[in-house]
Parts: sequence; C-alpha cells; structure tokens
Amino acid sequence: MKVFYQLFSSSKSKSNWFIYIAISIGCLLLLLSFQLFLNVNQLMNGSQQVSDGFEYLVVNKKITNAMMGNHENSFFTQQEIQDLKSQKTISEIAFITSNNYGIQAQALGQLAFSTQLFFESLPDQYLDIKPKDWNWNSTNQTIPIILSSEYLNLYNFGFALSQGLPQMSEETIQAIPFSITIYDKNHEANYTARIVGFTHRYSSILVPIEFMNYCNTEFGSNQPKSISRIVIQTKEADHPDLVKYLSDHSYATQNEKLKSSKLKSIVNMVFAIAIVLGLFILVLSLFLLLFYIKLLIIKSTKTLQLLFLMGYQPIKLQTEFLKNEIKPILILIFISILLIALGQYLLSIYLNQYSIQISSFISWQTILLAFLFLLGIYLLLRWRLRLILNEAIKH
Amino acid sequence: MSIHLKNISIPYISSNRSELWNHNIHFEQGKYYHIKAASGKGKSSLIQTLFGLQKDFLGEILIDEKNTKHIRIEDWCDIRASKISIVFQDLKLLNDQTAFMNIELKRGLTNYYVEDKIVELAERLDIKHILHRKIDTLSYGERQRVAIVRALMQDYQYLLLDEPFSHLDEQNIFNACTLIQDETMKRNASICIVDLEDDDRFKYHQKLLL
Repeated sequence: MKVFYQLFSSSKSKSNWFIYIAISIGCLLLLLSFQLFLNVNQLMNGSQQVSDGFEYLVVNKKITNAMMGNHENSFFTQQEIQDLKSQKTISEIAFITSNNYGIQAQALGQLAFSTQLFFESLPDQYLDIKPKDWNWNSTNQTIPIILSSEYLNLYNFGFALSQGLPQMSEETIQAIPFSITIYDKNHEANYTARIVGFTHRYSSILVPIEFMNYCNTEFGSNQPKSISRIVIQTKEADHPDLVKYLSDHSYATQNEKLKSSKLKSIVNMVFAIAIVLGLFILVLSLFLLLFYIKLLIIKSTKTLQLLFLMGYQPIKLQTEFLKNEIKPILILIFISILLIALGQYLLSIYLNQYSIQISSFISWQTILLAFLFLLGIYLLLRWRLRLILNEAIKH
Repeated sequence: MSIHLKNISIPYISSNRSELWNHNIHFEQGKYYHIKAASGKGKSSLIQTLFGLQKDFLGEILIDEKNTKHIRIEDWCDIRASKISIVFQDLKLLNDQTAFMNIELKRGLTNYYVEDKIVELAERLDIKHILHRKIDTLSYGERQRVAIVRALMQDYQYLLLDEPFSHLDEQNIFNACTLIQDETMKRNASICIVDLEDDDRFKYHQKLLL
C-alpha cells in the first residue's frame, strides 16, 4: 500500500543509506569472490590433461649421483608398487614397458638420418589419443608410432633450426615412412614405421603393446622385466597427499602439474580469504540491519499499535513493513549481479587478448548464491519482525 | 449485530448507584445510548472494554452471543475494521503525520469510501483547510474533528464515542452531531456515547448512569 510506504519511509533517516551501502559492499564482495573462484577453477581444470575425469602422471625414481651406474636402483620394487597402489589418491596404476632389444631407425630423402632409438608401451586406456591405425599383429610389417609432441617441438625449434634442416608440421611427419630394424645378437627384422599421432601426456616414443610384447619375446634378452616408469591414474594430480607422498619417496613426475597445483591452491586460498572477508562484512552489515530494524520498530511501535487498533491484521502489518525493508535490499542485490555480470564480460574480453578463455557470462551458481542470500535476509528479517511485532501488540 | 453486557464490573471501579456495572444491558443495533458519568467512574474503561482493549473485567460481554474473552486477535481486527468504530478520548492520532494521512490510514483499510470522501466530510466539519497539516500543529478541537472524520471512514454497526465534543464550540458540536447522525443512519448503526454531562444532541433510546 502506498500509504504504508509513505508512513514507514517518513520514519527513516539518512543514516539508513550507510547500512545499505554496508550490505551492498558485503554482498558485492561475496558474489565477486565466488565468481572469481569459479573462473580460476575453470581455468585451472581446463589447462590440465583430464580424461574421463582422471589425470595421469608418469612417475619414476629421481636419478641421483649415488644411483648412477646401477640401473637396478631406478627400478620399482614389488613392495613399492604395492604401496603406490594402496594410496587413496591413486585410482589405478600401469607399467610402462620398454624395449629389451636394439632398434635402429632410418629415414631417406630430404630428412636423411640414421639413429638408435628406444620404444615404450603402455595399455591403450592410458593414452590421451586413439589414432585409428593404432593396432598391430605379427603379420603387419608397418608399426604405428605415437610420438611425444615435445619431441617434435625439440626437433623443429632446437635441432632443425641449428642444423639447417627443414621444420616439419605434424601432417608432414605423419606422411614420412621410417625404416626400423629390430635386432639382437643373433638376428634382426626390418619394419616400416609411421607416426600416427602425437601425445601431450607422455615424453616418449610409443608403440602398441602387442608389438612390444612380440619383440621382447622374439628379440629380448632373458632378463626379468623391470619397471622403472609407472603411470598413475588419479582424480586430482595436485592433491596435497599425493604431492607429499611423491616428494617423500623421491619420485619424480611432470613438475608443471604439481606447480599448477601449488598455484591453484594459493589462488584458491586468496579467494577463500576474500569469500570469508565478504561473509564477515556481510554478517556485520546484517547485524547492523537487524539493530536498525529493531530501532525502526521501536520508533514505529506507536504507529504499529495504532494501526493494529484501527483493525489492521498483524500479518498485514508484518508483510507491509517487510516489503518496505526488503525492496531496497532486492534492488541492491540486483545491481550487484549486474555489476558482476558486466565485470565478467569485460574480464573475458581482456583475458581473451592473452588467449585465456573464460565464460563471458556470470555463472548460474553466482546468481543462485545471490538468490539464497536474499532468501536468507528475508527469513531473518521476518523472524525478527514477528518477535518484535508480537511484543508491540501485547502492550 | 448485538452487544450484551452481563453483570460486568471492574474490580477497582466503584459500582454504587450505577445503572450499568453489575447489570444486564443489551445494546441493540440501530438505537442510540447515552452514558453519563463523573470523572473516575470508568467511562474510558467501559469504552475500552467494549472495544476489546481492556480484559480485566468481571462478568461477560457477548458480541453476537460470543464471549469477547474467546474472540481471537484476528477476529478483533475484523470487528474493529468494519463493525465497531470509535473516537477515543485521547483521540489516538499519529502526531507526526498529517490529518489527511491519519484519516487515509483508516479509509484505506477497507476502502468503504473513496478518497474524495475525506475532503467532503472534512469540509462539513470545517477542517478541509488543515488536512495537510501535521497533527501536532493543530488545536485539540481540530484534532477531535479529525478523529471523528476518521471514525466515519469505515463501515460500522456500533459507534463508540468517548467525550467526543469536549473541546468543540456549539456550532462545531452541531455540525459534528449532524454528520455523525447522517452517517450512522446510513448504516442503520448504533451510537454509544459516554460523557460527563447529560445532553439531547441525539434522539437517545436509553440514558444510563455509570
């Protein structure tokens, strides 16, 4: 009712605006921190190699001076493997199988070279790519190879430039056949190899596990298989427990993932502090609001009692009073959401210049939080009002 | 609607020679009642009791045969909004609001009359020119007339008046009585007036000594 608005607003003073500004700052800080927290999470998760919700880390023992000259020290023992498997942060592990035979590779034409190589294999489900030619059986003369994209970069930007060799695109190098000779002391076999894909996950030259097993049987020495590199599948590569475990056991892994984990936890901590600060300001401003409401009702007690005597229902008085108080808060929250939406849009444009992609729109979780915040204030106010009104009507 | 007083009394008010305390009185709708009493005889207590504000009385008050002590707070609100109207002795106006706002708060509750009616009735009581002044700038006589107009802004079957003309001159009393009578007849309602002195301003069906 308009008359109520006039009646109650005439009893308000200018100091109310300080309370509303306090609520706005608290609300803005809370929502902003939450939105930035979501952005950081989106960025951090986007930059990691996540497949089916898992991340993969290649783990090996750190080579120290004391270990040099003794290969066995770099192998994992059965006990160490069992211990790794039993870690809560590790879902599964797989062994990287390496060759027990000699490999000579050659290429003809413009890219003429001849070099000794190594191969490694691991179960297909641990690969980050699945090329369609990725299979081999003993009748095949062509071996599919997955090459680390880092190796191609090393070649293009390290080797090719300094040696005056041509740089190669991924497509070109996939078109070049290599001649591969597998050998041991007694015999040898010739194959053709083709690169069928590039992995971002492993720094290695990968061949199908079937080929690896076949050659290890046919050409391999009779040494027992030893495991020096293990792939671990985990939900969270940056889990502090996992990081601590690897560090305690002097295991080495891809450092950039762990570094990003540190960065992520620092950034998360900063935003958590901002959220706590936002909540703190918010709680303070709410207390201020509650005191103000009490003061307002005490000031309005005579009016409320008189309205009650005239025949106004207590519930009606409560509703009108509440409507009058919640309206400015609703507007302030709406403005906060608009400001954050605008900020998010501008931030996304700004970050896009640096090839960092974040959503241009405010996230639905932030809007939900704002809604829950409003609901919380409404319920709190209603509860206080009911108590104070009942008291006023009794007298 | 009917109001029935059954042997009511208030412990701290003397009921000697009273024709109302400790008697059975029936206020019938459409009839006018005058209750005369000296100071301290419980005039305001009676009005407050009839309006459901004072509950420390003995005996029973029945409104439509329902004991007022059993009427819920929400039902009292309905009764005050559309069945019983009142002019309090202390007027109970909001001093920091305008005369118009005080009247409008009552009118807007049930919308019995349109807003223009406020000006019309105010004109009849010669207070049109002070409608937009705050109550605390008005004389007590002007405030009494504002309270009378406010009481007439709703439907009612009983109009309770507690010394309503104490600060009015004869001309203003005459205007107020004419207005009250017109409005009350329109509603086929009752008037119950308590005052210090006897008067014949309305055609009373019963006069009682408190």
